[in-house]
Amino acid sequence: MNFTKTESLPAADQKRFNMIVNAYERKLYKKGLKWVDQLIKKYHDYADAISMRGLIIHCMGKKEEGYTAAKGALKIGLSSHICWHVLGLMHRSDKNYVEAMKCYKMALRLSPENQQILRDLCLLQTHIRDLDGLKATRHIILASKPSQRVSWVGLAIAYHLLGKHDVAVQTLQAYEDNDKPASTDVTTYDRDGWPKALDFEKSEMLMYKVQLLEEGGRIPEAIACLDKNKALISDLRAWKEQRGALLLKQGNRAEAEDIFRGLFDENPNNRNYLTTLESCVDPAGVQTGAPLDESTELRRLAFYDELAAKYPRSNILQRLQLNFATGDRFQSRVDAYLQRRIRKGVPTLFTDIRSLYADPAKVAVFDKLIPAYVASLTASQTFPGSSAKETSDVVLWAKFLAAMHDDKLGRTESALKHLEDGIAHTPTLIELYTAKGRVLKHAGDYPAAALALETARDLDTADRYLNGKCAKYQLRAGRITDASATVKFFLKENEEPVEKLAEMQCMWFETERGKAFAQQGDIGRALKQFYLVDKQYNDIHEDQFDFHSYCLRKMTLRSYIKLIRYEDTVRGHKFFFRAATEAIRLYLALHDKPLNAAAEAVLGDSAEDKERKKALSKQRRAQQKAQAAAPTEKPASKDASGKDKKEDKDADGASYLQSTTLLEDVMTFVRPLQQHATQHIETHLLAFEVYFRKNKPLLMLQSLKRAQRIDANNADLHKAIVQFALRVAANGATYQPTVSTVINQALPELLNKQTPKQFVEAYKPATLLQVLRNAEARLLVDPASKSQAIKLVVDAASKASDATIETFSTVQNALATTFGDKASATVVADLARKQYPRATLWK
Amino acid sequence: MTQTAVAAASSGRNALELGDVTPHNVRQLRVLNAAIFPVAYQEAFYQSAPTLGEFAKLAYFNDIMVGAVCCRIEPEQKRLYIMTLGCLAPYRRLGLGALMLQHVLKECDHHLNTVESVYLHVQVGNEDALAFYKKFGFVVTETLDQYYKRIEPAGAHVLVKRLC
Ligand SMILES: CC(C)(COP(=O)(O)OP(=O)(O)OC[C@H]1O[C@@H](n2cnc3c(N)ncnc32)[C@H](O)[C@@H]1OP(=O)(O)O)[C@@H](O)C(=O)NCCC(=O)NCCS
Repeated sequence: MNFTKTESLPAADQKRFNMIVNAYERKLYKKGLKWVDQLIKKYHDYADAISMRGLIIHCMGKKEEGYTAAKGALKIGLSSHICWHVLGLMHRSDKNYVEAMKCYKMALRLSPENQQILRDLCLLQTHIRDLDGLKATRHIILASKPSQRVSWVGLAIAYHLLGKHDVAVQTLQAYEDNDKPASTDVTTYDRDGWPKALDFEKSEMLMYKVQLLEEGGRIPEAIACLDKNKALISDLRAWKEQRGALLLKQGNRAEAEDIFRGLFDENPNNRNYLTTLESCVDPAGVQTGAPLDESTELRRLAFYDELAAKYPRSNILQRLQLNFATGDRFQSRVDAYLQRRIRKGVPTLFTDIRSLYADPAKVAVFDKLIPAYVASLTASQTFPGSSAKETSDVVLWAKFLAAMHDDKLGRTESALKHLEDGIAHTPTLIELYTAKGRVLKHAGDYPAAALALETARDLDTADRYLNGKCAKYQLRAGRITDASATVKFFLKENEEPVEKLAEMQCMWFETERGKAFAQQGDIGRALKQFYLVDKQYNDIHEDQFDFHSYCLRKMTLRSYIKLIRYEDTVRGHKFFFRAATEAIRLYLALHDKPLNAAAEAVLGDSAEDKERKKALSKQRRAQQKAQAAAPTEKPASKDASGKDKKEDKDADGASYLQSTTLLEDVMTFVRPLQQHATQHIETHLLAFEVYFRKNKPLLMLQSLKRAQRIDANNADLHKAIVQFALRVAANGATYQPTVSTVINQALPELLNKQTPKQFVEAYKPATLLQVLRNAEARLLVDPASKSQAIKLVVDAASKASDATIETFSTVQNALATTFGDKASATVVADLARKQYPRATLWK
Repeated sequence: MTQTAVAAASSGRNALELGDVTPHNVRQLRVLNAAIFPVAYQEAFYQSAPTLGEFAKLAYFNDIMVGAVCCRIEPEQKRLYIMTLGCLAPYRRLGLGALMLQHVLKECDHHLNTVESVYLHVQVGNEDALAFYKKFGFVVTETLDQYYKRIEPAGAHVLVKRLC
């Protein structure tokens, strides 16, 4: 063999090689490249150096060259663990985890106790949650480095993630026992007689052990562990919180109460302290579901009053009692609550009380109090029944609240009047313009809403939040280009807004942009936005790589576990949920109505249809353009630095439209929702829609059952069940016997043991949407009932006083398309226009 | 009406504060002036406002911007001209005018070599403003008949306060 092994080099050059590795780790690529080139010049066939060189240029953006070098190095250095390790790192950074894993394992075979490779393997296994593999690797590390704390802690974490709390505790315990001299120095003092500085890492390890004991259900031991080690815990508040929570879990309410009284005293605005304290004092009262019986309510209020005497300034104390107080007790308390905050000028007051509007009795109280404030303050600058003169800004905040109140109750004009009055009174108060925008948005006048937000933004161009809101409203109004200019406001010059925002992870922007494109029929660009959101979640996920080693090194174990758990559910976040559901709907529409000229021909001559046609032909052109461009695709151009220049070859998202596997593509969005957003019924309803089109009966059934568990009365679910039943009736004969058995067992349960027709007739629709879906289902089981179904829908629409703009629009479209009845669609449009006279949709 | 509310009413915050005019908030100044003054100021006025330093200030009442003052130094005449000083109507007689005027007068102390007097125009008939400025030692030195072009009455008093 004539290749040069690092081990066989002179010591000076070995050192040099290590410096190169070090430069790579610290991302000093230029320096590393210079040194590695020098080494290669000296030893031509030096495989390790050649592969290191590949890794460095790979990091610098020359990915292909990097791989070529690394693979070339392997040919001469097949038995070099470094070469395998390096190739693994490259695959890892390109998220090719399977290949990376193979390479690491090859490297380990050649160098079984190599700590660096073992550590990288652990990172990878944690990252892809190969927990059994992780456990095995951690055992190897521990066996070779039993003296290091991380070896033990790492193994404990692996067991924890596997749900084996007992073994995890044992592992930590074993470390502690080995580490005796250090762990008994509870009250050691340094030479000057001062207590030794608390060891943060030890403290964290102990708190972690308590967490393990708690999660493993070993509450008394967890408490004992806290008590024994109190002097070693550096965060005393965390110690108290944990101890209080454990005592409460154990049923020792008296002691827990003491602790939470103390904690609440330290922070009388902490919601958690207050609610936990109340659960200690009055568990029965807290657990009673609303509405409370009178004695419980009085008892609970007495508890609040007693505390309020001691903590008169506690916000949370004043607020939480409003949730369960009723009648006069509610009224007098909420009256004081509102007056105090109107007087202070709290712009978020309405947001704070909005949840109380779920209770009509409370709404009635608001509807009595708030207009009375405005009247009295306007007339005499005092609150009703008081003689104390308020300052001039107080009436302004009262009007502000009145506007939000009216808006909530759908009284657009009155809300706007209050705001216009306010603007005449104090035209410099920015909140008035944002509120005006919100009211107009709720009224469906998106262009005017955007103008209001622009006015607000212009009054304070240093306010990033306002600027963002402004962009959002512009998007709602379909002003996509303006919105990009708006967000650019907060970027440095020459930064590409959209890209930069993605870096800043402003997911709402992409989602809103996507919706705006979709609104205009530009499905390609819309999908592209939603994919960008998806990509950002990938990036968030990738970011944890750095944390795996960091958290272990710093011993921030509890937050590390939190992080891992968070990462596992990150796609359950509402930003992803919104983007994903939008994307799925687009895919469904795309599947049902492929973009072709035939679809355009069907459209009529109304203004709306003309718009649609325009959009369709635009997409078709994009599609053709993309197809024409495909075969002559140029290689990625490079800029001066040699990096692959990012050039957007698919700016209009044509590649998504061209796909011949739409129902596969859509799973990018369906799967994460099914995993992490199971609590939302939409997840399962949309999944059903996809499986329905893919003809997957068992998966359809599964989705429907999940949806039914969440809300059996859901309008869309009702129709979906009927669709499913009819599909089974039509295709059931072709199903495999095992499939048929399952379905025949489950279907009657879905249908409440009724026939589809009975099921449809038995449904009691309460909302307009429920009436619509029920009518659509009726049409499916009995096409002859069409005119009757239409009549039901139109009747319901004429009585629907609280239907949203969206619902009206859905109903109108359904009548025009599903029912093919333009006349009734027009009737509904008229009704909608009457209810939402400002809505631009029906202008 | 509850007792707590009455008690709290008498303890309003009523915080008066001054703040800078910046390119970011200059639109507020524009909206404010439009609400207070009968004359519309030119674009150039608002362009320069953020460059006037301590001679252009916004006044806040409980964190709401409700007043502003803008002045310019006229070096040849060694005097300061108050271009605008005003408060939204609901927020008058709370001390904001005084706060702004006193701030400006105090700033003049730092420019004693260049500023020997302060002057301004008050529209004939604006008794509020006259009373206000007289309170701070301004005197009417002359009354111009045709000072304003597009508003009635067109006359203006010239008010002056000598600083030394
Ligand atoms: C003139 C103006 C700026 C005064 O502002 P203000 O904030 O109300 O004044 P202050 O509260 O600081 O008043 C200070 C003192 O000035 C005197 N004063 C102010 N307004 C007065 C009035 N309308 N009548 C009698 N005295 C008055 C009082 O002595 C007052 O002290 P007090 O309230 O303790 O009695 C305000 O009336 C205004 O904005 N007017 C419209 C704009 C304008 O005309 N500007 C002048 C031309 S640049």
